[in-house]
Amino acid sequence: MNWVLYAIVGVVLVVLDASFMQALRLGEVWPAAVPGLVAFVSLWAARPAVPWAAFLLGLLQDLSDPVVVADGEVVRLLGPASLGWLFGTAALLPLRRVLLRRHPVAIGAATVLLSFLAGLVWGAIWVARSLLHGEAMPWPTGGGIGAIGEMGLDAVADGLVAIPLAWLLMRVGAWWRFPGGGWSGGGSRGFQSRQR
Amino acid sequence: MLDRLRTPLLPALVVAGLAIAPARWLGWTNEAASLLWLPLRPVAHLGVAASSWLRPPTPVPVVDVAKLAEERDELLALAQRLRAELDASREAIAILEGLPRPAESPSRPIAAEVIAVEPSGIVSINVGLRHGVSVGDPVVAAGGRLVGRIGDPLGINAGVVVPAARIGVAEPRVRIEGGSSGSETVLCLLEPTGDGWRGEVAATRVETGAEVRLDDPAWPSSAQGLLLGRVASLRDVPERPLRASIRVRPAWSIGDGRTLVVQRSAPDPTP
Repeated sequence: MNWVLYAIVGVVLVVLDASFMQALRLGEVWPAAVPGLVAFVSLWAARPAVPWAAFLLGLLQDLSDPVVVADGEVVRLLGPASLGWLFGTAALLPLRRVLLRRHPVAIGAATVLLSFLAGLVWGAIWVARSLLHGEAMPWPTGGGIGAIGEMGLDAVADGLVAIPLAWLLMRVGAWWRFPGGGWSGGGSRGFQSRQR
Repeated sequence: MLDRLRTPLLPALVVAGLAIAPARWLGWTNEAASLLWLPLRPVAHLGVAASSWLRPPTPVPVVDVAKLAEERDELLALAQRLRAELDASREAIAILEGLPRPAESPSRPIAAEVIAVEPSGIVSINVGLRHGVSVGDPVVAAGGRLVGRIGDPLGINAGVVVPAARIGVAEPRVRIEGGSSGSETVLCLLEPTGDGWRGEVAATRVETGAEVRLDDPAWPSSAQGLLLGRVASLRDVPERPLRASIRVRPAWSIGDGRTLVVQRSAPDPTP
């Protein structure tokens, strides 16, 4: 896998999520682009590289997301994205053979699953913090079901954003230097199927 | 190199520990984020600008100080008016609670405000025909004191009260209580003098300060027993040694309050 390209695209998307994606929000549903990249890499990169890619980009995401913890203190909480995406890619790896991963919609579907699982990890971390330190959870009291519903909507929004993103990433498929998969040429020609 | 390490197990465990660590252990993450974001800020600013162009932020309503001040003044005026109405209601309740209640009294009291006082002593009030008030209805003040009667002309929304002390055509028969023999009742005919009344009673049965209450069939039943005034002075009548001339001072005067009660005798106007 081309780690330099991954780092550049990852940083750009993290910045994009923090600055631009608010323009695409629908009510409380706030789509993100980074999960699409993580899902794309999860479906195409070499298996040993996938957890690292998800974990490292998750750390960058965690450091970009200020949260309020006890006594109104604002910190960057490490874990929600890094551990969440690590958990999500662990679920995606067995599905690589099942999914039609050459299709952008398959990347979108994988993104929905990845984002939802990452959301569950995010919720588990906050429940643990609440139990250990008595911190207020970032959803209304008794609103756990609603929070899970919001996670689902966010995941769907991430998946929708991931479809055009995956199409773009596939256009430069050869640049990623993924093993196998019929990537050839590069540049604007991008992905070609193994059959051609 | 990373490809050779199967999973980031150890770093993940460290991060999992930090994820549930106390907040005081995480202060350094802000500095790390600041360093990380330092070169990324220009790009982020471009993203925010693009976002604002695509979806302009909702304009914050401008605070109009003059309008707020106007609203404040209106609310203060409303509060003042409500306070005045509350005071009037309290006074009206006090008046009504002090009234004698004849068993067969058909009256329906209504509170009224004094809106003007003529030099002649005629009082204008803010209730009239529209409120079911009729000419001749008695008007009462706090403490069951008789003020007078509704006079003619009676307007739609306003009326005039002719003070009892100025009703010259009638000669109210009264009951004087609190004489030398205690609660004994002495009936007496009083003649209006403009600033009160004058009459004659048996000299031994009345003292200065005795209460004078209305007991005159010419007045509505709701006015019977109301306090007309107090005996202000007693004077011997030379030609009739057993009689005394009394002067009665009205119980109500114009400075006693702005709230009055009209004892309406007519039925409620049809809505």
